[in-house]
Amino acid sequence: MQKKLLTIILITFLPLVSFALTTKQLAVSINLAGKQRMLSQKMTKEALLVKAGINKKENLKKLKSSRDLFDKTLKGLQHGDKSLKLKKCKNPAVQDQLKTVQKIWEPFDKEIQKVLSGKANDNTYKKLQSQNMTLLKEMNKGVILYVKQSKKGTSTRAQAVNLCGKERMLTQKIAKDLMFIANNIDVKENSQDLEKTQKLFEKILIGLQKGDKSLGLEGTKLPKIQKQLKVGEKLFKEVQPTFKKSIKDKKTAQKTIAKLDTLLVEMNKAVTLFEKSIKKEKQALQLSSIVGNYMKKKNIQNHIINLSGKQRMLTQKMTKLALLVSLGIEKEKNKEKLSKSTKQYDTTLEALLLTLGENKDKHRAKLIKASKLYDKTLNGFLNGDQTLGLPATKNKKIIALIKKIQKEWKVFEKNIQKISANEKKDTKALGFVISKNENLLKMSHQLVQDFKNSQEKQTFLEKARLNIVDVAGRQRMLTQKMTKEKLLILLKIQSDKNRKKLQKTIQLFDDSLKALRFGNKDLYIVKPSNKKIKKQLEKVATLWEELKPLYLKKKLSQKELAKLVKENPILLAKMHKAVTLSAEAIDY
Amino acid sequence: MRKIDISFISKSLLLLTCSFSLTHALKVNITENLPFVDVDVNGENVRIQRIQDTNHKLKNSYTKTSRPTPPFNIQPFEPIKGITTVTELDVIDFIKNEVSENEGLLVDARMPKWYQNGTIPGALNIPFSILYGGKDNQYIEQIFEVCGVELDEGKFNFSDAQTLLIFDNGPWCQQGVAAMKELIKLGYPKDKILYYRGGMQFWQILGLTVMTPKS
Repeated sequence: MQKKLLTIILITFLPLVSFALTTKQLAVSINLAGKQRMLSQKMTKEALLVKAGINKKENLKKLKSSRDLFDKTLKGLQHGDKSLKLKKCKNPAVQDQLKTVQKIWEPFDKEIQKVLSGKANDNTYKKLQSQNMTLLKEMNKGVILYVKQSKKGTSTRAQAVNLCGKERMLTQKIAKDLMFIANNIDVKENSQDLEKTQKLFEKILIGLQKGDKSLGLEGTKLPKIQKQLKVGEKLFKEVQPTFKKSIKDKKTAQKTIAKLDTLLVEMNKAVTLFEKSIKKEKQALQLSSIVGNYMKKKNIQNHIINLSGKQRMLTQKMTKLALLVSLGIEKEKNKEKLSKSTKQYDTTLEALLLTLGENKDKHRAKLIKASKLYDKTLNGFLNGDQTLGLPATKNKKIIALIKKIQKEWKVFEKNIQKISANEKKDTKALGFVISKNENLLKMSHQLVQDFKNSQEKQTFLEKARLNIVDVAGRQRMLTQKMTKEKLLILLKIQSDKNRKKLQKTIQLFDDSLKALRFGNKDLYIVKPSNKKIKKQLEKVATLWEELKPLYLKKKLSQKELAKLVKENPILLAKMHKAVTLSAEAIDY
Repeated sequence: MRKIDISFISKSLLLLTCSFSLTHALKVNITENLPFVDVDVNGENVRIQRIQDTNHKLKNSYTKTSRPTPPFNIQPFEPIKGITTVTELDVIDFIKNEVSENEGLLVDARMPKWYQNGTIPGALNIPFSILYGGKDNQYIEQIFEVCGVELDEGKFNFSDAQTLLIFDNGPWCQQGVAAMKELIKLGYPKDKILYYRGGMQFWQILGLTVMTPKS
């Protein structure tokens, strides 16, 4: 079965691997295949110049050289050629098209050979007349297939380089048309073609400079290319008025053809400039895509650490809310007790409990929300969750830990549900939450550390930044933990133990806030220089200065307790903003 | 392999400056006769010149003098032996001659958020940390292909590799040096790497054009 699967995989993917040319190899192929189009016209023109007896010796030499280059390049495209730096493209569609070109090239070449050996007759030129455009068209199809192979970093200016390349071919096509007319071959048809070719050359040249929607051209904004296109424009304006005369006068024809060849060279320079510019753009696009993928992966890792850090806070928030919901349920009872109390009104336990019992429904809704979020995030770590931006975890050690947490969480969750669903106080469920919440916090904290340790090698700055986010993220949890501990003390649940814990929590919050504001080498924390982060941490510190005495005070008035309960979520929100800024700011 | 000859750069820059007519003269020039340099950035023309307001002062984070150490220790002039340290004029010349001819890459080695905030026109971003992890790093082959490095029978062939001119935030920044160290570990030839120590801080102190790359 495995072997069968492997065979299927190999059959499916091997062709893709072996067909692929590198970007550089593909660029060479596209360029040379493109030049073949021009050569098809150049050869025809040179053959006609030989027929007309214009610079016969020189044009025979040129024709031989063009013919040899076309043949060598076609073979190189089909089978590879080291001297041309051509590598065989194994794509079947490309190979089939090259075979088609080869089939047209062979009879065309026979006629060229006749010209070269001095055995050409009228029939030879008729055949060249009828076949040269087919050769051009089929070669063009080949170029299009090569371009399709180039998937990475496509440029919107590809049309500019394509049409500028076409201009090279058009210079030779104009020359060829002129020579067909001069040689009295299909004069009417070739005159019409000459007219069309001239118009197209001009249209493309203007389009390359100023843009042309119908040609899909934007118009270049680069002074260097604009300057080169102006050279082409000037040359064309000089040579165009000589066309008519060159049909009748051999000397003029000679000069015209020479100028058209210079135009070809100048247009080729423009093509090279376009190609260089596009190559740079492709490099930029490719690098941007690689870096984008890398950062995406990196950001997901940071996001996971941020969310796993948030889970720690949720364990404490749920416990705090469970206490507040339970007190809300007892509100009526507490009211009764309070009415019978003879002690100072706002410091009796009943009065305090009555304050804490306010907003029962709001606390209940918050508790359900926090519980659902904890559950969703935990499942997201394991199986992935698009809405949370979480991929499924692959690390075996972390998977084992998540499963362990899930087991603990399922029981904890049931008790949270009992508290939030019951209209009567569920002492047993509340007792469970109070006794087990720190165990869940401990496990959640371990998950943060395991996620952190599973990250790839990091630089000093990355480590420092992650550490800052972690410590700032822990502060969120501490805001909830200290409120929970304060409530437990007020409710006289393990008062001494919770008093000690509260002292520790306050101290940790205090020390960490100082480290975040002023830096701490031992904690690997850099002092922030970013104004926004500094300002946000100052806001946290200001609120903390107001709340800290209330957390430390043994007996709170009803007003003070109300302030603590009301402003604890504000402290959490302010700290949360500081975490986000620390994680996202460019300049810490 | 081509090694950058600083005296050659100075000479060619002198020739380059002569090619600009005095009609282009600005109040604050790059050199005596060089007011600006045009750069092709993804088909758009970006002009590198100096800020013309002689009362202009920087207001961004590059006005800052001191950053905590580690990591912001001052880099020596030649942090890696064998790698040439270059000046702003060499960077401009490199953009004009090497980058425009596809012979070289101007590399901003800082993290993407810094790069996106503003960089030298024509620079491409290769964040230093992407080069960590040796040959097993999945991104190395992709990045090297863009730089013209070929993979021959499992080995990198640097014969057609482009020259890289690397910069970061400035002499107090570690990112460029970290990138160069990783490149050398991977076999990139030292004579195909140049280091612009002044980085973004010196570039901006001189009022040279800063570009925000399109995302």
